[in-house]
Amino acid sequence: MLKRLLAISLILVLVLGTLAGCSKPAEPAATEEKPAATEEKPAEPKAEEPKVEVKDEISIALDSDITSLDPQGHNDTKSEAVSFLLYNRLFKLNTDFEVVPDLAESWEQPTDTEWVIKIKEGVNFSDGNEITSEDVKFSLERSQEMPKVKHVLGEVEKIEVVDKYTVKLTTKTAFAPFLYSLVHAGASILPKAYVESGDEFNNPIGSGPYTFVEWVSGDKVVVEKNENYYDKDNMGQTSTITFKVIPEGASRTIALETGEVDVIHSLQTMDINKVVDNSDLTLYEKPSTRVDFFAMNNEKAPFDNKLVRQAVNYAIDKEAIMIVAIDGAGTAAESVLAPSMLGFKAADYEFNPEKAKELLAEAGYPDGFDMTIWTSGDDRKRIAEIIQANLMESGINATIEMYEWGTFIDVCMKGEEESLILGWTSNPDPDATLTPLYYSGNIGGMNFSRINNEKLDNLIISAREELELSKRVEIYNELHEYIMDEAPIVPLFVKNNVVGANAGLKGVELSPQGLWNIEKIHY
Amino acid sequence: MLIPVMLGVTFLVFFIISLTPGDAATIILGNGATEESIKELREEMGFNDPLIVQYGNYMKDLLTGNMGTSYSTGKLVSGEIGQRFPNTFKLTFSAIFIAILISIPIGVISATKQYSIFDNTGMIFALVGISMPSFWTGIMLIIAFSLKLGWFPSSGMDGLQSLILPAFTLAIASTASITRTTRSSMLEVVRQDYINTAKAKGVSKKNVIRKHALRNALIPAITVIGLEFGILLGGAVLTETVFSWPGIGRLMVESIQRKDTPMVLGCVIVFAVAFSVVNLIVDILYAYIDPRIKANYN
Repeated sequence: MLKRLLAISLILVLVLGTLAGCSKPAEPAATEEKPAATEEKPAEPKAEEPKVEVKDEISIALDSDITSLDPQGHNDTKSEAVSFLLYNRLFKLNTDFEVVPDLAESWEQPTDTEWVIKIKEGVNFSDGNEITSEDVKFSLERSQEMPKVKHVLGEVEKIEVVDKYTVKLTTKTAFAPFLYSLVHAGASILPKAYVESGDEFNNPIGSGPYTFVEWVSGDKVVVEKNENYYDKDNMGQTSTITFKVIPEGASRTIALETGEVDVIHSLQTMDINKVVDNSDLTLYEKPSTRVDFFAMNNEKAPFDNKLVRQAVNYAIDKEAIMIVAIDGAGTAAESVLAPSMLGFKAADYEFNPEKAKELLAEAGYPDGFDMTIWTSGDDRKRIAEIIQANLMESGINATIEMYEWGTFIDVCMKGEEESLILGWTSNPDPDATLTPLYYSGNIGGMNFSRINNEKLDNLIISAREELELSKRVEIYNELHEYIMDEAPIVPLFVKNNVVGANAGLKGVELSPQGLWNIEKIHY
Repeated sequence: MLIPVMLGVTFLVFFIISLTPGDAATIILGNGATEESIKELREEMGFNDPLIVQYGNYMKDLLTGNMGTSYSTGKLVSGEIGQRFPNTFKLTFSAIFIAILISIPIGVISATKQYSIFDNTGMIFALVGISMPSFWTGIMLIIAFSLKLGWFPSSGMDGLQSLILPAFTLAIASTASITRTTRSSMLEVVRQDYINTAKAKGVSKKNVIRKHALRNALIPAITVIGLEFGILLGGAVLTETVFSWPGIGRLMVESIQRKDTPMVLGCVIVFAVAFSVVNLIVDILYAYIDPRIKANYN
C-alpha cells in the first residue's frame, strides 16, 4: 500500500516537474497574480475602491556589482550610476548629451587655456559642511592621481583657488572638449575633510540627491533620498533606491516580471519581446554611443589599397548583422561614430556586392583573395560568420579565427591581424574616440585599423583645438566624409541601450549612455 | 597535510593566472587609460618583477595573515571573502542537508525493495537529477516557483525564503549521486551473512535494516557526501549566478575575469581549506560510525 502511494507520488513529482519546465508563456497565469507593491499596506480591505498605493521605493537590477563607492575609484557604468546619485560634479550631461551646469554657477574663459569657474554658494555635503573651492581643488587634484580616472583630467595643468567659491583651471593646450571631461564621475566633488579622515569610502559622504545606506558586496547597494539636497528642482523622487546585482540575464528579466525589481539597467536584447508583450512592463530604447566595427589592417596587403577597403564596405550587409548580433535592437552604423555625437555626418556605403566586385577588379583582385577575420566571444563570432558569408558573395574567401579576449586585444594592438571585429563605447566628446582609434600616434595602441593618414591626423587635432563650436562641427563633418572615403573600417551597427521597467513607473529617462537621471524615477 | 596542499594550490594558481593572456594593469585601469598610466601602475604593483619574486612576496604577506588587496575594488581580500564565504557556506550546507534528508531514505528503500516500482522510479529520478545541469534546473525552478506560483523570490538573499530555491537546485545533483551510492552499498550489505544471521535470530526487519545494514552501508555514502560537499562548493558558482546569491563562487569567477590575482588566490585558499576541513570531518565520522576503523588507530 505504502509502496504504491510512494511510487505514485514520485511519478507525479516527475511529471509535474517536466510540465513546469514546458509550460508556455502564452498563458495569462503570470499576469493574474501581480505580487508587485501590494504587500506594503494591506490596511484597507474595502473591495470597491480601486487601490491607489504609491510605492515609495524602487529597485534596479544591475548585471554586475559596482566596483567602488569612491567616484574616483572606478571607471564603469554600473558604479557610475550609483556615484551620480551620491555626488555632484561641476557640470553634468542631459539626456541629449549637452553639458549643463551642476555645481557650477557661472564660468568664463579669459584665455584659450584658462577656465574660471564659480560654484554655487550654500551647497552642503550630507554631513552639513559647505562646498568650497578648496573641496573642488582637492577633488580635481585627487582625480589626477587616482589610477582609474587620471586620464579624465589629463589635459589639466593646474588648479588654483581664486576665492572661496571660485577656481581657475589651466589646460595644457587649447582643449575644446574640456567641459566634457568635467562631467565624468571621476571629476566628482568630494568633501576634503572626509577623504582625509581615512574612512576609505565605507560610509561615503557626498552632496548628491541620495545618501548612502549600505553596500552588501555582490548583493545590493541601498541609497536613500537626501532631504536637504540643494537643487529643489532635481530632488530625489523616491525615498529608497536599491540596486540589486543579478548577473544572469534570464534571471534579471524574471525578477522584473515577478516585480522583485522595478527597473533593469540593461535588458538582454533576447528578452525585448517578453517585455513588450507584457502589459505590466514598459520597454525604453535609445541609441547608445557604442559602434561595433569590422577593422581592416591598413598596413597589410591587400587592405593597404583604398579600393579594396571600399569594396569590403560595399560587401557587408549591416542590417543582417544587426539582427543576428543584437536582435535588431539598434541601427546600422553610418559612420565611425554614433549619430548622437557632436558633428556627426552620415557617409555610408550601401550593401552592394556587385559594386564590391567591380571595385575589387579595379584594384587588381578580380578573383578575390584569401583573408582571416580575428575576433573573440560568441556574439562576435556570429557577426564574423555573416561577414564571412557576405565576403564570399563578392569573391573574398575569409576564415574566422577565435581568440580568448586578453590574447585578442594583445595581438590586435600589435597589428598581427588582417582584420578584426570589435566594439567601442564612446565618451560624450568625439575626440575621446577619434584620437585613440584613428590618430596615427596611437598605432600600437587602440588604433586597431592602423590607419596612418596625415590629413586625418590634422583634422583630428584641429577639431580638438577649435574652441568655437560651429567651426568644430564643420571640421567633424569634413572628418566623417573623409574617413569614410578612406574606409579604414566597416562600421557595423550602433547598439541601443535597452531598459525594461515596470509600466507604473514615471520619470524613466535614457541618455546615449543608458539609464539616466535615476533620481527622477518614481511610482 | 593542509600546509603542503595550500602551498601546492597557491603555487599552481599563481602561475596559471600569470600564464593567461591579458595585462592586469590594462584591465584594472579600464577604458580610456593612457599608455603611461598603465606603465606606471605596472611598476607600482610590481608586475614587472620576475614571477617567482611576485610569488615570494605574496607568500610572505600571506604568512603574516595578509591576503592583499583586490586589484579591481581596492578592498581587502580577507574582508571581501569574510563577507561572501558565510553565504556560500549557508547555501552548500543547506543543500547537503537537503540532499542527505532525501537521498538516504530513498537509497535504503530502493535497496531493500530492489527492482520494485519504487526502486525503478527512484533510480530514474536519480538519473534525471544527475543529468540536469544546475543552471537549467535553477531557471526551471525559478519559472515554476517564482514566476508562475510566486512562492519564492527569484533572486537575492533575503531570509530563509530566498535560500530554498538555490539550496534545492544545488541539492538535486548531489541527491542523485548519494542515492545511488547508498543503494548500491546497501545492496551489498544486505547480502552479507551477518544480515542473514540477524534475521535468523529473529531481529525485526526494521532493526535489521537500521542497525545492522544501514550503519555498515553508510561508510561509502559518507565518503561520497564529503566529496559532494567539495563539489557543491565549486558547483555553487553556477547556482549563485542564476539566483544572484552573493557567494564566494561568483566572486571567484568574476575575479578571474578581471584578472584580480589576489582575490582569486584568496578564494582558492578558502576553498582548499574548506575542502580539507570537510574531509577531515569525514575521516573522524568514519571512526565514529565504524568501530573497526577506530580500533585500527588504537
